[in-house]
Amino acid sequence: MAILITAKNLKKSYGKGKNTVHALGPIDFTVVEGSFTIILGKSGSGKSTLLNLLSGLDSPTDGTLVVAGESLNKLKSGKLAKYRAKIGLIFQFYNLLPNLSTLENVMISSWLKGISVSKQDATSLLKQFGLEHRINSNIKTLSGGEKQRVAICRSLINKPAILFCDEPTGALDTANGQIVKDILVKLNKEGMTIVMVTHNEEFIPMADKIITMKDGIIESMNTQISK
Amino acid sequence: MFIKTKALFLILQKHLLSKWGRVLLAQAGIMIGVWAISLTSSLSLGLSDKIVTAINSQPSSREISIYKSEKGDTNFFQVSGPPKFVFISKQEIQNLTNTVSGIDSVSPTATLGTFTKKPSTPSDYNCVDKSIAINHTPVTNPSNPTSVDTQQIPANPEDKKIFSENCYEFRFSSSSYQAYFDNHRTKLIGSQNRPQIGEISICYKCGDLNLNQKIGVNSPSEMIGKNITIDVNQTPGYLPTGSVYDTASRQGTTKTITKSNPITLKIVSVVDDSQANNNPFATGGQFIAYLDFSYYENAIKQFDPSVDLNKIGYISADIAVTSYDKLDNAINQLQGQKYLTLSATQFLISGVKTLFTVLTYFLAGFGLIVLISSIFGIINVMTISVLERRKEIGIIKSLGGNDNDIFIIFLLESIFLGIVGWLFGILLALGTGKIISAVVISLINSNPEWKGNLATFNINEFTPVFPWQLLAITFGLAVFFTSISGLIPSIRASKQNIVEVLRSE
Ligand SMILES: Nc1ncnc2c1ncn2[C@@H]1O[C@H](COP(=O)(O)OP(=O)(O)OP(=O)(O)O)[C@@H](O)[C@H]1O
Ligand SMILES: [Mg+2]
Repeated sequence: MAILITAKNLKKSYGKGKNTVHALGPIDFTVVEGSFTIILGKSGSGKSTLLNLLSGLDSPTDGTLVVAGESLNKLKSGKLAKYRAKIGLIFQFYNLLPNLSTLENVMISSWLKGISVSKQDATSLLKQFGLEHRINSNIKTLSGGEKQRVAICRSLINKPAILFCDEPTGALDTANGQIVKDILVKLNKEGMTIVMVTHNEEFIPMADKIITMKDGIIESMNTQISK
Repeated sequence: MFIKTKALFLILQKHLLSKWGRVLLAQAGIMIGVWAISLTSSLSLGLSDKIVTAINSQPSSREISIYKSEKGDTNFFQVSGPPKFVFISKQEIQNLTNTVSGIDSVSPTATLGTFTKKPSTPSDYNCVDKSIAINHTPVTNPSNPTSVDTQQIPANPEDKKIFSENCYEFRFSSSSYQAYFDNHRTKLIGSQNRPQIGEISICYKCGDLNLNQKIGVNSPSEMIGKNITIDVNQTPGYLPTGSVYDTASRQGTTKTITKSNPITLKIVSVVDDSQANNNPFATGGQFIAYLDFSYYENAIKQFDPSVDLNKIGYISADIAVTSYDKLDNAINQLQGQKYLTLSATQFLISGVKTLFTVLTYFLAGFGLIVLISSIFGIINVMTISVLERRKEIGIIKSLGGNDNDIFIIFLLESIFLGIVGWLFGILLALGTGKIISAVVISLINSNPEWKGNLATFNINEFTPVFPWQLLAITFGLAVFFTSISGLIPSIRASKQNIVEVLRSE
């Protein structure tokens, strides 16, 4: 299977001089197309830092990072924005746009990428995730579980090649966490490559690869052939 | 590109709707600035408009005087030193009717004249013997007024003396205006037509002449139909066509007539000048008498019978256009033909306009200061907006938005503040302008004296005006100031680091 992500000697540090924080690296790993990768580790171990680099929200300090043929370590902010438009991103705290309705949140995500989307497509996507009764509601009135489902719809509307998730169930109760988990597992079965940071042990059996982080580096990396 | 714009506008729209209270506060500075500029400008423009219309509505506004400068100057402000004028032929003046559009009438100047109480030159001029007193006997043969006997001169020396004091002569003025007569004819009592041969239009009292007493009438209308016998003692200013008249030397154009040739004329119209402020001609110099243009030429003939009237020139001509709006065009055409033009109306109106333009700019300057100080308010509001919306900025960027998109959203937001401020400012100015004009009108109407005075000039109905230029300039200023105010906060917004702003909870 084709390799979708290659990280080599990847490093990220914050600040300058005496105040420099070495948040990540050096780390090396690959991610195969269609696989489900989960990143585990204690708080402050650098999981989010890694995911931010992978999703193009931030640029590495050193090393190379190639995702879907793009050398992210070489991209300037404009090109990086274009890269972000091609991937899907899900956050722990949803990060939906306030003041907008459910439908608008989904559609505007596509518009910001310069891609037009029909109302029907957006609506039917929301229906698939059980949000038909919330389509025109203001995003602020939704529950956490609903918000995360909207965020998933938003990330899927333009059929991304890869989905990055930073603790997608972290703010949800068990029931809603289960729903989101099922969605992600289903998406992966349908061929979506997923890289996910999580504390949720329930994901472990579903993963093709488990990366455990400690103090900014990879403590262990397990590939599960049977899941 | 278009799809992305749609997204940016949707975000902006939702944000502004959710923060409309702050929008109202933020635009206040712009609103007040635009209000101050447009209110003061519209009031002063409105007033100048009214004054200009008032000037236009005067009949004399249709008049142009033309001269021919030796150097070919076309504008009085170009003339350097004492002007030298070339005498123009009557034919040339009449031809202007065909070559300049919008002309109602043309005429060489000078068919008005003044009486002189005591002939000054030559000193031996004997009024009693040679000149003719006012007399009011009926004309026996109107078709030949000069044949009227002038035997009222008493033989008795005592009577002679009295008569001498009542002796008047007529002097053509070289600076009188035919068009002026035409423009004021509605104010005449009696016939409103230009006097024909054998007729005269005359003042009722004629200042210290007290003509009415000499004729023995007690009202202007009684004077109509009476006869008056006059003698011309001076030719109008004339020289052969083409000769040059130096205004500095002011010599050689008028000639004294020593040979008496009295004429009797029937009074066909009267100007009531019994009250000093009652004379409609008072502003145009002394209106004393107006007679047919042929008398003007006759006076020249009388001085020199050998003169060829076709070859004499006139220092200037009066031209009246059919309506005021034809004035500028006619002036341009006349200047194109190298005439030096003089239009009191144009001069007055351009003066009024300049005055009010200066006033408008001066007043608008205060509004501009308010606008400039509103920059700081907008910068503050926009900076707060950037800080509050850091997370939103991060989300937009995480979804594929770039720095430019963020910059545009924030710049549009500040420009929007400018547009709202402009709109409110204009609406406020319209409202307050209406109130001010209503107050002014009711104030004027409450005082009959003011009302009467202003009515003559049509100024009691004054309203502020908002020409599109005023709207465009204030709009431009509002948008300019808000966009430069929004610049720094917008750049700051666009440079926000996504990871950092998304971490902020
Ligand atoms: N912008 C920053 N400036 C300085 N230090 C930072 C910055 N972002 C992260 N760090 C530091 O880098 C380290 C890794 O942080 P990171 O957010 O990746 O941890 P994490 O594994 O995602 O933790 P958690 O499970 O709590 O989310 C931490 O020590 C953190 O304090
Ligand atoms: Mg984290």
